Amino acid sequence: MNNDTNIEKQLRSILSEEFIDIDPPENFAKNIMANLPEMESKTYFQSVKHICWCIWDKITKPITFSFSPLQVAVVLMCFFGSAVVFAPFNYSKTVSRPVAIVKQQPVRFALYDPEQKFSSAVVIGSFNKWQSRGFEMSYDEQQEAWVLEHELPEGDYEYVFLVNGDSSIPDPRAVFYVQDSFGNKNSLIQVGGVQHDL
Amino acid sequence: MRSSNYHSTDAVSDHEVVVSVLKGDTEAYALLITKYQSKIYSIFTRSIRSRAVAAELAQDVFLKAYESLSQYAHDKKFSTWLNAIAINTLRDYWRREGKKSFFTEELDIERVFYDSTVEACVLGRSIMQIVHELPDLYREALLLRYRDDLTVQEVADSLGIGVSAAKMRLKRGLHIISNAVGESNE
Repeated sequence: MNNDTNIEKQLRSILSEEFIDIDPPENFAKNIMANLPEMESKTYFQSVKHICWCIWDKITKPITFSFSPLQVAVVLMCFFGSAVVFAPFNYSKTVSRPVAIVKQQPVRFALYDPEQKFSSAVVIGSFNKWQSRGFEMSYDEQQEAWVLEHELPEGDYEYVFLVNGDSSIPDPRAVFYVQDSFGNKNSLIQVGGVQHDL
Repeated sequence: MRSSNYHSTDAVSDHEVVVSVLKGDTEAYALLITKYQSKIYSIFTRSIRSRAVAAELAQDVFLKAYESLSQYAHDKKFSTWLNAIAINTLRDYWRREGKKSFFTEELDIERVFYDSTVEACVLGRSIMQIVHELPDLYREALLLRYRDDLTVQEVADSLGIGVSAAKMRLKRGLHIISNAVGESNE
């Protein structure tokens, strides 16, 4: 090793003193300059072609990624850490979203009663879980009918009129009817043009 | 003949001159020739006896460099790029001449030290003479490293080879010289 170091020292000294570059013959540079070929000036088309070729070259060459086990560990920790932190937030957003975008459509119920045989009339159905509260109808003298205007989300609903607080009758003017599992005949309303095979 | 914007390479870098030439200032190329002509010419004179052939090959180097100037990567030194062209030109020359062994990359060290005729030539000679008699690629590698004080990476770039090959070449070159000197001193 020491011998090598000495050799290196001797080499540095000898080579720089003894191996001196020599000058070329006269007119060396002039001959070269006289023989220089025309430098091709790139046209606009050639420049664009060159750029396209460079891009093509970049995107078609395989790229090698290298990473250490420590870098992988840090990335995985960050990924799972962020998943844990943001998961509840995202979940609540996902749940609330469908409610926000549901369209409400105006619906008009009417029960023709020219002789006012009923003392009260309420609409009950699948849209209000067959509960009467909030869907009481009022009697319209001009139309001679019990009427109720309400807004419902799009969809198919079964309903009946609950009259005098104790008996239910299907809507005589309904287009569709369905039989429920208890053998009762319910009217069917389609809100928002939802079509189903009936 | 148009005159260049530059009159001396002292004030401007090689990179700036190259950019200027590429932009159309052809005359600026003369500055690079003047700056590196001795270095390039000497690579050939160290290997080829005929000065006329050496001058012709050195001129070819500058013409080749000019033609492919747009391919020069500016993150490398211009001198190492030019040197690599010169080394390639020299290798091609010896290949054409059918004397590939003159330029062999794989030197048989065992043969050099145990062949009696080679040993006889080496013994009793100075380091200077030993370096002169080394195959071109070993001699040029040692000159670049110990005379021009280039890094191993720059030596590799100048010879157009990889860093590990450059290290190996320097190591073997030193090994040959140190052994030869050791034997001559015995």
